[in-house]
Amino acid sequence: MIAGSSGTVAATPVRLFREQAQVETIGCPSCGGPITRGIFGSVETIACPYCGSHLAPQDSGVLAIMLEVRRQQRQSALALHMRGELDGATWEIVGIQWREVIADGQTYPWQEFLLFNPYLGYRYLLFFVYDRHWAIGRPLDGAPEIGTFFTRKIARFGKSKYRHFQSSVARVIYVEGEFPWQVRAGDSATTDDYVAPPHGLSIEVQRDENGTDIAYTAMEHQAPADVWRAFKLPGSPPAMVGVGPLRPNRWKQGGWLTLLSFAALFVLWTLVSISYAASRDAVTVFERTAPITESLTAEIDLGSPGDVTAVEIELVAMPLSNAWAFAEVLLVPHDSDEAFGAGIEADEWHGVDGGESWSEGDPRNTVVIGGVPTGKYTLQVTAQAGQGTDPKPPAGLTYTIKVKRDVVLLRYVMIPLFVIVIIPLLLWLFGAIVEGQRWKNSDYAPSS
Amino acid sequence: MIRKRHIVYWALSLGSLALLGIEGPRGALLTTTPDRGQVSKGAPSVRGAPVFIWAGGGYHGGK
Repeated sequence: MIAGSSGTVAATPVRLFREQAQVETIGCPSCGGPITRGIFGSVETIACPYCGSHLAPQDSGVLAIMLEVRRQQRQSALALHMRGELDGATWEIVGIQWREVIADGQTYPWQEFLLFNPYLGYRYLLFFVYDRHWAIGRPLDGAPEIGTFFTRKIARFGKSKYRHFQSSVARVIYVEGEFPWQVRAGDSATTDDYVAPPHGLSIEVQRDENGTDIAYTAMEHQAPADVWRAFKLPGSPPAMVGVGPLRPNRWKQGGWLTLLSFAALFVLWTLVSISYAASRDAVTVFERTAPITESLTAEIDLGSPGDVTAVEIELVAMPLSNAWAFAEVLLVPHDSDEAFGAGIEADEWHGVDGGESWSEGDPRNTVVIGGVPTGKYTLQVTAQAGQGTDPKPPAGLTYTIKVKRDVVLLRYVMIPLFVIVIIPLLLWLFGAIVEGQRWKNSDYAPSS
Repeated sequence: MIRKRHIVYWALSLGSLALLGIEGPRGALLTTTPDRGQVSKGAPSVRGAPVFIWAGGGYHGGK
């Protein structure tokens, strides 16, 4: 990706900067405060960290006052001239500016730390005060292509596509240190932020009497712990609040692998399900209808001995009206003393309650008993019925018993399907929730 | 990049597929557990059945 691909050096020289013990400071011509020069080369502006006066370096080495200011030094998250290891290189904070945007009456401030490495140039470390997120930026090696995708602006750079997140007017409210461009408190620029978390593009346009200045910056989310480690700060960083424009969505990470896994597992599920269904012949081994007062007995074959199968027993009692029927089914194996039994109830109830009619129950019911050894059995069915608490069966009631062996149990088929589908679905849902939180602070929030 | 969630996903999915492939034909899980026990031949009734009787069970249902 764009921002993460550069900024790494194979072997960092041991001494990138001047020896610290030999630093020479220059007094601010306005307040006399010591100013340490960090950048060599073209420096446009030096803002005195103590009084804020804007100074310009002269050929003679002294500083000329461009704008005299009397303001107090402010405490930033990182101090001027701190050095830290980021992206495998050492960087020094040579300039700090505080900026803010105002949206919907709310002020969103952040602090920008200008990092300098004499071999790699400049980077911008951003601390968003309002949500405690960090990001690092570097000048983009070119200009992105701006277009639209449906109604939304997008930016393309290289192989990456960024979605427009927000347009705003950023205002500088505080400056200290050296800058290779002219910057003053009060400066404002129009910004357009595009995101492809954890990366982003920022386009700043600043207009003045000299013309228009456009700056393209590639951004990347920076974990607060990495900043703390880089600058060897004590304690732990303040916890991030919310999602932020660039924070990676952990639920979407590895999304392609999840999708591939889903496809492969779904194909596997289809094959196993077909194989399972094909192996079940669901043969009806017994079906008979009799008056409820009669018992049924028959020899049935549940398949060749030596296996185990699932047996489905269905009871249908007709006509059943505000009555119940019960059948006790016994399977007595011919080669064993251990019998299997199961009871099935069918019932039907209806009436009128409070002027509304109701009905419940079903004259048809099914039970499946599993783990039944195959072989020959004597089936015995004993039935009884009653009306409410009256054990006398309704007149003319008959019942039908149907026994099937090797039945397909859909519950076994549906459980893996549920697992295969629900996990990617949950990951997608959680990812969508996070994205919803991210975009509610953008220009594309549902309420805006 | 393989993450822990992928490993959990594969494990649960393959486990449930194994349940389908191995346990599905047996059906011993996820089904009604039958009563099991010894039966004895009882005295034939007027209708000639039931022949087999076991202690326990019985039904006194209905509303």
